[in-house]
Amino acid sequence: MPSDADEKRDAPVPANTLEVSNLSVKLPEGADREFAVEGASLSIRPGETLCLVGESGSGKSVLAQSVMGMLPPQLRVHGGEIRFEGGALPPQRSKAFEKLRSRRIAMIFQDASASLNPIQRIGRQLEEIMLVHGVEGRGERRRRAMELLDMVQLPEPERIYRSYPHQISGGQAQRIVIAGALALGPALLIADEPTTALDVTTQAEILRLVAELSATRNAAVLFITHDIGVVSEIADRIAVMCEGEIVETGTSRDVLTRPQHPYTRRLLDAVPRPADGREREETPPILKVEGISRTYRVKTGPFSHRDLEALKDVSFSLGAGETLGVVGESGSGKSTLARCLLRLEEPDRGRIHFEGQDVTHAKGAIMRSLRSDLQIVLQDPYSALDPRQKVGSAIAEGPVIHGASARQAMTRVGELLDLVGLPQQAADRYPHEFSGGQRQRICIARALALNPKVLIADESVSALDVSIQAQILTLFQDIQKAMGFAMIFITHDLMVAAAICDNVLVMRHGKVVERGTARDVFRSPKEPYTKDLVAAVPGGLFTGTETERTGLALEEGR
Amino acid sequence: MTGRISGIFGDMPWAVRIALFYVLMFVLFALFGDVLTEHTFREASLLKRLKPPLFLGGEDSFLLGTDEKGRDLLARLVVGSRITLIIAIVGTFIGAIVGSLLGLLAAARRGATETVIMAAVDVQASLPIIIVALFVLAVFDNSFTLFLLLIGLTGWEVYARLTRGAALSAQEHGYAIAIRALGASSTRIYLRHILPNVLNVVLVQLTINLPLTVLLETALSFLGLGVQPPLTSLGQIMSEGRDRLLTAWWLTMMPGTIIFFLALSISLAGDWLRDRLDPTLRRIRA
Amino acid sequence: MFLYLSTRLLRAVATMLLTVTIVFVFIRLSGDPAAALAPPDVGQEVIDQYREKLGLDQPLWKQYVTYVGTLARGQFGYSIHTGRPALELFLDKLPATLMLGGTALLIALGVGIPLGVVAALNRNSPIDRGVMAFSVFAFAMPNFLFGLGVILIGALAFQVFYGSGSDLFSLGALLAPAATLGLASMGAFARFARSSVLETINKPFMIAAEARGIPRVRRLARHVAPNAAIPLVTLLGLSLGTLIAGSVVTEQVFAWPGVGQLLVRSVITRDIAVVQFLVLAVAGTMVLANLLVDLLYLVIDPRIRVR
Repeated sequence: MPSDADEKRDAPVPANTLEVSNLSVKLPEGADREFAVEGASLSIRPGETLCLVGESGSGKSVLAQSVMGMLPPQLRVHGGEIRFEGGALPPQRSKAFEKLRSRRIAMIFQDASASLNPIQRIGRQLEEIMLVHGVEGRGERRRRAMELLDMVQLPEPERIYRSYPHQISGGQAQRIVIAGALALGPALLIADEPTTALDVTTQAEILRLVAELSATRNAAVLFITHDIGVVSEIADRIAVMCEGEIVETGTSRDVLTRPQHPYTRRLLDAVPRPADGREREETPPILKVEGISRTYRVKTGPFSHRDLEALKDVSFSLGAGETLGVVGESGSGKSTLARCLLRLEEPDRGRIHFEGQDVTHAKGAIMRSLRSDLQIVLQDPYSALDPRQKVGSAIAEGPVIHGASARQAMTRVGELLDLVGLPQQAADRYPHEFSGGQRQRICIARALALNPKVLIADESVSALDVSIQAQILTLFQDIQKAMGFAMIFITHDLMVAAAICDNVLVMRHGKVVERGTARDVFRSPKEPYTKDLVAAVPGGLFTGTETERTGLALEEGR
Repeated sequence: MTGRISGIFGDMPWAVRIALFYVLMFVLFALFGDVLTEHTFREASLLKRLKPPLFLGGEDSFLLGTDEKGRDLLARLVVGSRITLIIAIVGTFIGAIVGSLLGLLAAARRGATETVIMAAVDVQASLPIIIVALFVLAVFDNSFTLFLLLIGLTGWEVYARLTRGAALSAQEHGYAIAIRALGASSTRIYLRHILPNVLNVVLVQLTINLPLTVLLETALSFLGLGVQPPLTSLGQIMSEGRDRLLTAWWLTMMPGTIIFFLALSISLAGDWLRDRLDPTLRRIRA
Repeated sequence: MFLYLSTRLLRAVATMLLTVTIVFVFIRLSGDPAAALAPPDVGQEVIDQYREKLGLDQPLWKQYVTYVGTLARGQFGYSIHTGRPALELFLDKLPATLMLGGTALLIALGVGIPLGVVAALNRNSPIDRGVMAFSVFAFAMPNFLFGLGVILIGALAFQVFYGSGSDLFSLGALLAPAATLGLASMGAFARFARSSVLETINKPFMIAAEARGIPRVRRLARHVAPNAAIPLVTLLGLSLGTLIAGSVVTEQVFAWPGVGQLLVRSVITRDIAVVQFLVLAVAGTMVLANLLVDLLYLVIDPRIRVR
């Protein structure tokens, strides 16, 4: 019996798989703006990948939900229309739409593990998609499910089939979700930030997979992301979204090399680029770390345990005024390193020297003075501030602990607020009244209050939107120039490290795999792991050879 | 902080308003209700036994009727309410303070201290408080102080578990780490940063626990094992009137209804307060 | 899984041991335990013999060990009131309580959970508000008031009396006390079921399931129900405590000849042996029930079962 897919194949192919015309979605009363999406138009052809680029709050997810017919009841389509394969779509949340989902239009989300039912085996969940859309016969469904697992290049498909979601990694989960999405051969795949939460090497694999699979099926792909690198890697066409409106569309090459709209330009400028012109004179080291190791004990039974080596024989030195990058994927030991440096934890072996003194096991007065010399800015600006404490009090706390009088402390608060670009009235407000970027400024002010000689930034910009990230990075550099402290910049984002670091340590599984100047490590990596890491960064902006799509220097041998 | 409080009381649903009004009326009744009647709560008169309330054809000096010994029910309800109120409030605070301190201690010290405290929590959790109370009352002589302490034990283990959990998670929060890096001592972090954030959790639990305290006290007194004569409580009045349920129903139903509405009002107010406190804190991300 | 089981078992044993210790301490504090635990109406020399037999002239720690040994052998002392062994009395009254408690639990589950689910699926509707109001009422209602009220209304309106022991095993006699006992749990189940269902419905995997085109009914039955049911198992364990506590009062109100009534009477008559036994029995039951709940989790939650 001919399936819908067969019929569609024989019919004349419509020009656009998806056509959104002037779509407006209204927000309920009391939201910070009137429309989630306003007058948005875009189109995607079969086989084409359109990247929808925007920062948080731009409305990109709402647009995706509209195309899937999954708008929450409080949001209403106010105007415009969406046409799919030349025809109109059923109303939002209607029963008729259920038949389309996964069959003709499929969607995958950011957190793949969370997209799976935690108490059902994976094989069964894949089969369910087929069952619900009319594939008959348990045996047939199982056969097809195994095929799918194979198609997404999962090793040991038998084991995965029988596994539960908590037993597989994030990357594997995303492959499974992709398999499920493409199982019935949909014409349109919507991907909402599917690689944002993944390591850069895993991200590269997933991007490759999506590109391959959608090409073989000639599916249209609507890829939502905020990462310009990813966009330059996979987009045929780009739509830029800001505050609910699509401000620019065009081919990938056009938008990336000749952006028209000021927002697009700002966005592209904010992308951290390797700063090659950094020349730094050697300065005497103020922090010297020799062979530190830290092992955690993990209980596996009432009387048995397993050793987890978080840090293995790590050594480096940091000169005054230097910016050292510590780069690695999750589990590399970067955060443990930060905690050991701050003496929040003690290394099991090795020594830490600060300004010539051995402070590995310092206590009392030495510890106190060390505290004021070594400070940290954390990753999550939302949990880094006590919600019940006023901003001024938070910034003043360091000086107060170290003996400053109330008046001295408040004067300092005033100076610091100026330094980080916040108004003086901020001191009397509470953290929840500020945005993420502003809160991070407050955290920076707090860290600088004690005039530290070393500032550790632990993924301090990872949770921020691209444009805000650029501002905070500039702030870090400006303040460093003004105050002269050394910085240890911990990040998983190689581009960020390349943009502001003088020297770099690459870490993997607790060990330092490679070290050198930023230029050397990123432009000519020596170790295979580093090479993989650098190659995995989407967009090829590293190798100095932008991809063919953006029309810059042609790649040699990729 | 004050700004936030008035924000909290802003738009209260009418059910909660009525609930708070009832609680207020109850407290006033308990404290000053003596003015409503000319009799004392112990004044017995065999001639006036088992008189019905005024609205059922009784005498006007006994607005709510009399009990088996001819004592004015209204007067007894006033004193009973007072005792119930005192026990409930003191008891709740004992439980809250003891339990919360133990929970915080467990979270702050970890190790052996934590193990011992949580083991005690486990023991308490496997014995409903009424069973514990009955056991203690069987073994020791009933005195007002002992009874008060027993009521005070209601739910201490819940406070302990809650505060320990809240403190442990607060310890791992970004700000705890950052402030420790500033050089703050553990004491400072606990008193200034962790405690205030834990207080919210305790406050919410208080509103859940207060009705439970009332219900426990009245239940034990109803069984004859709580407040002893000549003292009286609302539960105690009910136990005395219990034998006359069918003939003089007001003796049990009136105190019972007062208890019910008290527990109900506190619960409603507590529910509402919980809803208000949580989103205010969560509204961090606008 | 082995770690999970062994820690739970260890905790259960430790809790029981600690409870026994505390009971021991309290009884020793209260006076002469020999007189309390010996059969009634015996001469002083018999009590002295008892004291020797129970080792009460030994140092305290030795007494403790003997005590635990005695309990382990199943010797729980004799009731002052009747002279019969405490264990025998307990077993006598147990069936009545089990019937009452069992019925109450069934009622609570059968009414509470469906109410909670319906409320969750119709959020913010009048049904939802009604169910929430009901659960607050059920929580605040003193069971003795409700019981007495039922008796009163029953007597006045239907000329039905609930006397002691009359027609114990007929449905009619069982219904009123069971409903009274189950009321508080009913409210708790309703509220809990509602919040569990609401929480599950909004989880990311439900949104993803909708995106896969799975119809609503199937999503509710095959994805929401199993996931939302898991935390309810914990509530089941907790409700045992509520039922035990409630039966103490409810059995008094309805003159139901069960263990609760036995306990109250024993407390009033200072029948220490019986009280001691009942307290340990309750603790043992609760610890066992919690252990069973933990085991049940192993069965229903694969995240605990497989690593």
